[in-house]
Amino acid sequence: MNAQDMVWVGIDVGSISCKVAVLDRSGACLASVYRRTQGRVIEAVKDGVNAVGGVLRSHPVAGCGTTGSARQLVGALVGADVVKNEITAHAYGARHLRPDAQTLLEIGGEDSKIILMRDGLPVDFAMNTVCAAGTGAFLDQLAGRLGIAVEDLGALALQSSHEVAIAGRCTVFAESDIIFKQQAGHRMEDIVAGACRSLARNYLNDVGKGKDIAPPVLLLGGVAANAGIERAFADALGLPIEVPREHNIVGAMGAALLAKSVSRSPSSMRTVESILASDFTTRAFVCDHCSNHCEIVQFVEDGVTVGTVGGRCERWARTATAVAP
Amino acid sequence: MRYFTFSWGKNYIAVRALLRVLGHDLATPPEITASVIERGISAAHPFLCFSGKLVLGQLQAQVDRGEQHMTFMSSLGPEACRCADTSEYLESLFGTMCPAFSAHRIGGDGIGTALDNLQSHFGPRITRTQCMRAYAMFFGKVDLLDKIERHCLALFYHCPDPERVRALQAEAIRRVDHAHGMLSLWRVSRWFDRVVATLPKRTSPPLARIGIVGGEHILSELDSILMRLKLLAEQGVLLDWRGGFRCLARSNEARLAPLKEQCGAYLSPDVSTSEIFSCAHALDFAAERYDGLLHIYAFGCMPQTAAKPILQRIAKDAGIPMMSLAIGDRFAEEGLDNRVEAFVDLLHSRRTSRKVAV
Repeated sequence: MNAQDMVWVGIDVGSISCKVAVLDRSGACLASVYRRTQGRVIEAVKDGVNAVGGVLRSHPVAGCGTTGSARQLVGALVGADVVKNEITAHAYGARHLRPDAQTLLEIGGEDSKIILMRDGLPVDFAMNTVCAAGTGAFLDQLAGRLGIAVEDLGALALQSSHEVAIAGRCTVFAESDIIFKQQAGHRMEDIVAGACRSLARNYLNDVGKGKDIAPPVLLLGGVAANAGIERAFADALGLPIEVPREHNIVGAMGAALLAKSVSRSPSSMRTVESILASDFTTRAFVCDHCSNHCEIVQFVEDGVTVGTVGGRCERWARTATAVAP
Repeated sequence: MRYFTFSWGKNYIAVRALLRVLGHDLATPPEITASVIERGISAAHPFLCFSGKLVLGQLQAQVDRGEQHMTFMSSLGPEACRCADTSEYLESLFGTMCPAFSAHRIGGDGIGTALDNLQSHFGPRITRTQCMRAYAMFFGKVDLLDKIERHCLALFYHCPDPERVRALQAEAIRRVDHAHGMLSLWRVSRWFDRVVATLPKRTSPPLARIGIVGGEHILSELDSILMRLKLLAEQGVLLDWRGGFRCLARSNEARLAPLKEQCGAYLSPDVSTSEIFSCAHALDFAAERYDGLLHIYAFGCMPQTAAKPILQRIAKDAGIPMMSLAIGDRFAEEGLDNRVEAFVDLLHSRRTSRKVAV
């Protein structure tokens, strides 16, 4: 193996899914995987790393970055060189795919964000707060209510000829509204199309409010696979929407690119075998040292604490959140 | 009589100084713990601002402790905020649980109204001289505490040894609390300046310079928020906060007039003190070409909710990024950390690209 074969690994673990991407020196994606975590983050990461294990074993790993809401935990598990928030990671990943992109609409399982790019640089962003109404959770709930797979929603929405209005401001109200529309005899495809439109409307009225949305507009995240959502955004914005083939691994790609830009050598990433064999658990407690009462989470491997997050002071060694290079 | 302030921090120290001059003292308020916050949330109307919910939680905790005589003191300045008008609401909530509960305003537009407000609670025996001495100590401590907070926030960037900054800040606040006269306050100030001068200085330029604007109440009191920002400062971000409790405590029409003029067309005629300070500081930061503005306010705070679009216009006109963070019970800490970290990344990448362009 020589330096030309070096690869960079990015892992993005959010509330719903785990994404792993392996990039070569040119930034081309050699391997990737998308897995639902089903609430078992450590197992999902091990599974994801194992799935791209063939590439990792045959190439020297030059760097590893983690992102997403579980980035600290995953960073400690795999030995990441860079641990970075998902906003920055998506900006890096999207710029790599489409250098002239000006607007990124990213909708994940529990969060949604908009990132404005100008001249390849992020210049503004917004992220939803605790309400998941404009996120993938809304579609999951819709699919569950209608008794169909969430992956089938997009195709169904495109069959609609008379979409109905759904109150999408809140998933609770939306579900009530969907029940009412079902009882009223509306067709399933019309209800789904209406729900897609309400998600887009809610997103644009929440995270997109007041933002200067300019083309090219990229739709990213797992929800971007839903053609009904893509059409709803295109209609609402009056702009063409692009969905990159890699739409659901852009964050992971960004994390890998961030690791590449750090160019730390050698990488601190552990071997595939070491990750798979690790006995990794977490331990949580509340620090009562001061009135902040921080919720501390320690990552423990083989009985040894290998990382701590959650503290607001130096009392508990924290995992560094380095500024993007 | 047991007196009570909104929190455990700097307001507490300043109000205690005022009461001591009048021959009273201040009970240590209950810490704002998760259970205190929960109690406040459950007791409060959902649209009450987050600071108001914290107050309610603390009052509930006081009632649990068996306190029967409590006074709620609110609003030192001419604010157009609901915080200043929560007295009746609190009385309606606590009147039955705590019959001796009372609510009063302290402070005022001038010494006359300040004296009237003190006398309405402490009785006519409070003299004008006592009132002036009480407020001199109050404002003296407010000013010094604000100075310490501002300097230390910047020192977390300037000084490569954050432990020394933390120790200095803790000791300085302790000394302010123990100071019993204006002369001793002056000595504390001199001592603080001398220690600051001896601290080692960082030589590298900052990754980004961020001007902080927003709700003075929550920034003055919620150390948990400032602690998070200080972690950023340790990583090389210069944070500048020119607000502080003194902005609200010392505001009157004469002081506000030049600020209103500075804000010019950005402000509507009917604005609150808090908005005026936030906008004036934002304009200062923009004029000094800061990399970004960070707007922090308590969720539900009406003046700062109204200030947000004005600040956005100022930032847009100045061509600098701005991020608003609403602090409250509806926002997860993880999300706050994400935003702050991403915002710093954004500012840093802009700064780096400008250097390349030059």
